[in-house]
Amino acid sequence: MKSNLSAWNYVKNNRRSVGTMISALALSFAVIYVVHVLLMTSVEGFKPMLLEYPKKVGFFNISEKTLEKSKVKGAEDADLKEKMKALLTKLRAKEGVKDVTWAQVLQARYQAVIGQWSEEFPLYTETEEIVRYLEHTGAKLIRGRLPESEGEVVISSMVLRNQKLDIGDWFMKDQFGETFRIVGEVESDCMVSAGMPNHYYNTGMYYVVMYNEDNGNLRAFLREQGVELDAADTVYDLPAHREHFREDCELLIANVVNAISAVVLVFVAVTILIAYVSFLRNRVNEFCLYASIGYRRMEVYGMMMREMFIIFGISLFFGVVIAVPVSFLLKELILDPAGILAVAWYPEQIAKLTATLLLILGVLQIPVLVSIRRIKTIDRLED
Amino acid sequence: MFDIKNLSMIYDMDTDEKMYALKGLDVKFPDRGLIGIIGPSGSGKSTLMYCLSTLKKPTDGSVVYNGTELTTITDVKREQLRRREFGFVFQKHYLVPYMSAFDNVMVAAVTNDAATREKAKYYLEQLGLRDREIGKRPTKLSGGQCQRASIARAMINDPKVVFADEPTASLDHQNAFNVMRILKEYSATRLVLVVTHDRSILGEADRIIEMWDGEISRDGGAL
Repeated sequence: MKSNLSAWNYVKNNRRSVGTMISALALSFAVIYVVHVLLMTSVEGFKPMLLEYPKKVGFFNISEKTLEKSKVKGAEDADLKEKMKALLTKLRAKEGVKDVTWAQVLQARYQAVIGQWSEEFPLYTETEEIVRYLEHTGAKLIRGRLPESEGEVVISSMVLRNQKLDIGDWFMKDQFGETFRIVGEVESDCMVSAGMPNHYYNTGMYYVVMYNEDNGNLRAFLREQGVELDAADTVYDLPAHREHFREDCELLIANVVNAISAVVLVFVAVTILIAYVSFLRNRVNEFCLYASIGYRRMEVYGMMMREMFIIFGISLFFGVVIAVPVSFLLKELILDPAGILAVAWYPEQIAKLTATLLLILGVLQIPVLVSIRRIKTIDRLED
Repeated sequence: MFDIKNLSMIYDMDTDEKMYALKGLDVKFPDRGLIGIIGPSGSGKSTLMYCLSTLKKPTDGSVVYNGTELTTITDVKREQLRRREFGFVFQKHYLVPYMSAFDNVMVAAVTNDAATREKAKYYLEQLGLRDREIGKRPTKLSGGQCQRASIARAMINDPKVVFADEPTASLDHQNAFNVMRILKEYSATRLVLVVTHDRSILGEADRIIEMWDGEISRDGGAL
């Protein structure tokens, strides 16, 4: 015996109410996805600086106080200069280390939608050293020229766009005044910049360690060498950056994204629940009719389920159709030109939102089941 | 077809003031024919119809339909009977508001083939709905047109019994007689039970049962 309870009947004949529900779900889906894309710029933008760059270069600066109290292996009783040289020699001999130099260090600021990060880059006194450094990090000069005299810097394209700077502008003018001038633009996967120091500022002398492979644990190396680091010392190495990335980017942003998604979804779920209960109330007579003419409750329930799957399926489709192109447009038209690294396609987020929609669908079973349980036959309505 | 013995229906069983809707009815109905059940409001005529059609379970007594005791069958069998062998016309049309008249007829059908769709259209036309009205929703139809669509819905599976509770209540005189003519034609091969308080529509009934206060006061032939 064929059931003629078609889910399409309700969907196609109630375009306004079904359309409202589909719009609400699809737009909520799209909003959450786009917010996710925006917030994730803080993760995507910091990824090259915090995870890729430190695989190639590390920096550390040890205070005189630290060096004085440290028993550097092989130079236990030597003076500061000798201790520094001993460290340099050992670092150069370390497996995976291509070169170690001394250089002053500047920081190139990158501003994401939420948060910012400053990446260190060296200031060499010789252009040849800059060339070597850029070659090592895979950066290419694409505009302007390399630094040739003091205070000149080449900056990565992404930082230039991000900070709205261009060749000829003063770099970090707010901090250093008109002392570092941008003379070139470099293209680099990990936002590499470089330059020459000037005589107005000593930005601090750092060891610049260029690695050949992913083994940049400078803290461990210094500990092995008998250097007792304290709070005044600065070590920018891969483990420290990884830790920053995990705690300050991934976890923080994940929590923010999850919190926003949860709030929006709870709001959507409650709204849909209320709207759906109202839909069900309007259909009491219909369900009673079905029961009276011999349809089983499960058949009515099946029809309701199919209706919901159709509504949620269409919502999901339109949610993706809206969210992904909007994200791509946002990336191409706003984020990229603003120098904010963004990714528009997050399949795992689509999957997560789909799962959440299914969860809402599950919640909607409650009023459906209550309605199904309350189905009466028409004789009872007419009594 | 129906063999009813000592059928009683008591409302408010748990209270001191029990209300008897049916009081020990004994009656038999044949396989075919148009039978009118007539009586004033509260006489128990609708309750009798609901008990026969399994929508209500009587308090006492027996309803045997084609050899099957309906008061003790399972819910599933009850539903199957209502779906396959019984057709219903209620006091109100109970059309699904978002469906067309045609879809409202088809929703009760046990098949969905071309022949059934043709039959739905045929019944609707026979009941006076024009082609362009068949695709309209109940809100765009008059009360009479809705009631006629509900009669087509009751007949779509060619049920062995059509239970009609005040089927002409919302129809004008002409349409009421058209509906009764259709039901009369249908009763040539099937049983049609018409519950009404309007004697004038039962002119062609094969048998009329008059009810009063839960009892059959008169069981006779046509008026």
